[in-house]
Amino acid sequence: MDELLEQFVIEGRELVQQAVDGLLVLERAGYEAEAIDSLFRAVHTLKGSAGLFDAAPLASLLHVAEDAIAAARDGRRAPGPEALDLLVDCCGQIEIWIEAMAATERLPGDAAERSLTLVSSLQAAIEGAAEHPKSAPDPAGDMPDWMRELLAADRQKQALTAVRYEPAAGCFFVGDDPLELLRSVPSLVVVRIERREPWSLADYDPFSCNLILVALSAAPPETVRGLFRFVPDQAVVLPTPAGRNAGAALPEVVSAKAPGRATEARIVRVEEERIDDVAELVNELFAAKSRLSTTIARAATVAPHLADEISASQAEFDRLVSGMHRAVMRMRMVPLDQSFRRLPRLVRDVAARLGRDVRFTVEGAAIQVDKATADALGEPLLHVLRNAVDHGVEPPGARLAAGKPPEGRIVLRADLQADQVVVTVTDDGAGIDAAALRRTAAARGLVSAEALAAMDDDAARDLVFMPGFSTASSVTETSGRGVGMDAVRSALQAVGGRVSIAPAPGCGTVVRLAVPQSLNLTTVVVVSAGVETFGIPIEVIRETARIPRSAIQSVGSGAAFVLRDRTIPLLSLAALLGGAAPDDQGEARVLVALVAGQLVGLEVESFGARMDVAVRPLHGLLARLPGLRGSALLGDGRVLLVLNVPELLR
Amino acid sequence: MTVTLADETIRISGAGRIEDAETLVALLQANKRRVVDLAEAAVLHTAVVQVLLAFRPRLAGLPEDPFFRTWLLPGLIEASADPAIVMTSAVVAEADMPDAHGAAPATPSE
Repeated sequence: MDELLEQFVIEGRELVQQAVDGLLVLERAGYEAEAIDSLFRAVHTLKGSAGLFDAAPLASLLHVAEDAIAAARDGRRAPGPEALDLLVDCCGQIEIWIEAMAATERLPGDAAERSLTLVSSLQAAIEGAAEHPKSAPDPAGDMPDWMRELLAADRQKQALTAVRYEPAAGCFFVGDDPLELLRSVPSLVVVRIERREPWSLADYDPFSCNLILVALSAAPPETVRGLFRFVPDQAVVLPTPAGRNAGAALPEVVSAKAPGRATEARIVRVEEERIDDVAELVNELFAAKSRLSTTIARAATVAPHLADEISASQAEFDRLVSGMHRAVMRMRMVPLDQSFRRLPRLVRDVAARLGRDVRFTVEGAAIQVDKATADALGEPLLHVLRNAVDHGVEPPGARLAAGKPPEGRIVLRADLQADQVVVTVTDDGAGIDAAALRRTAAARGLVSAEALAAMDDDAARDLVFMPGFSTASSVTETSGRGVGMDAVRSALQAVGGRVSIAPAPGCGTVVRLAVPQSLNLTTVVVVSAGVETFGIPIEVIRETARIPRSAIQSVGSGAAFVLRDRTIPLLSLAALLGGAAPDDQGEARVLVALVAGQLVGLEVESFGARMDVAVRPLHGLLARLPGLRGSALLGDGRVLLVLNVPELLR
Repeated sequence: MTVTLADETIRISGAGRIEDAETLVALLQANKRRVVDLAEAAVLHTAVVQVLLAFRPRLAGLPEDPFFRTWLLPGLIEASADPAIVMTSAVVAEADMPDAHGAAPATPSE
């Protein structure tokens, strides 16, 4: 793909998302200057970029959308509900077009027609709104000269706030420091200093302020006005007119987020694989480093002096490799926001389709996690949220009847707990009916009647994670796509995560997803089974035990043992992996694992060390073997296969 | 802050307060060719910056303060064509944005 188009696609996706975020805020909270400014900037920038390509339907749609937003912004009100809906539709359409451009380098055939429909609906919506009186005069007409001059000095050309601050001559005496005040203005774009009177250097009065400070900022006018609230008679704060330089020159495509850049971190986009290449090299460095220890130990026997010297440089080497490892890990960190951004719109769409009223809030989106973790959370969250709207929150009528507000609440919250990211989705719906779950499980023949009778409510709720389970009596478009909560569970287990479901305090349901913050380092216990060694991720292991053979009972074709009054089934890891079961020795070494809420004993030949390894996904043929999570390179150069225990036991 | 004179170089160190403006003016009025070294200066009060803008002495070292470097320094180096406008600084295109903490334009005095 042409580089320019590639850049457009990347920026375009983000800008559409930014626009949608702004629209959702306006829909929820009404007029909010920051949201409408951000929305306007996104659409404006996108429009400018779209002009570079042969995409007239896209450009004209953006043009009208920009007008609609500018009209609302200048009138200091949120677009009406009809216009908001249309604008969200526009964003959806633009998103589809951007993806089409990414795939085929041009717009789909029906683009012109679709654009026309949306454009005329939007225009109708704007005209409808225009009948309302404007609360603010058109600022373009009476733009003061000083603002006009400032705008000429600004090279970014976007909606800005202009301020002209003429401190009183005696301001120093009352403790004012005008530059200090200017310094507190965020996202400065232009600063100009004028003098009020010509300098008279011979009888210069150091205690009289002779400066006029004029500046442009990308911060909203309210923010800037707030800063100058103590000197209202000395400062004028005005928003710059909207739509200035519409269709301005295009180098801005790349620097759409220019204001405030001086303090923002600069971003370089790197393909994920390139970072992974570096990460892999660092992991190999780790392995090489461990090999060095063996060499030093051997050298110590023949040349102790030399061994000390090598040892000293190894310490330095150690420090550097660890630092490098951390740096690479940081490179892979992204804010969860990347996975969360599309969720508000999903909830809105699903709620609209199902006739639910839902207020959705997201907390903790700034938490940084490994890119792979963020990706791994994406699909499961979509599913959990669809369920929360579909099966959690009741229709408004039912809610009113139950004495609740008609608007349901869904809260998505992310927290860091040790090295895990815990994401909870809490709704205030009717909650899970454990009895109904039992009936369904029985009707589907998923669990025997005795087992069901023995289950407490916690265990019954866990039934939703069973393959083939779905409580919806009819298959709905939203939740019944053949993927159930079992898919959520296995997707998370594949990356060492867990999911659980519980009643929320009060009413409703809380689904809890926990995933390692960084997927690259996993603690495993090395065990041997048959002639091979394997790594078992520590998160499934509850304990290790030595059980005398005499205490192991045959149960049908299997075996079981009793541990602290609980009967636990016992399986041979070697047999599970297709080898021979170990010979009967005096004691069985058993690793007790918790899998899908059940304790299971795995007999191994020996337990080895516990270690942190970088688990790499398997490629090719191995990737299709069930029960394997990945491989890790050990210090001695051997490859350790890391097991996926839940999958192995399925 | 202290304003000290050594070898025709006025050195400002620490936070530049309003009283320091008076000292600075006196030193510059005595000899306009004196160089002002700001290397050890912290955040300067408007009154002090105003003296620099009015007398436009040659500058030696620069303060760490990124606000000073980004917004005030360009105006102190370049004289404006319009005498009423002391200085104008704008965010320039991304590529040639001077790093606020790193390399600043060379000081004109050296």
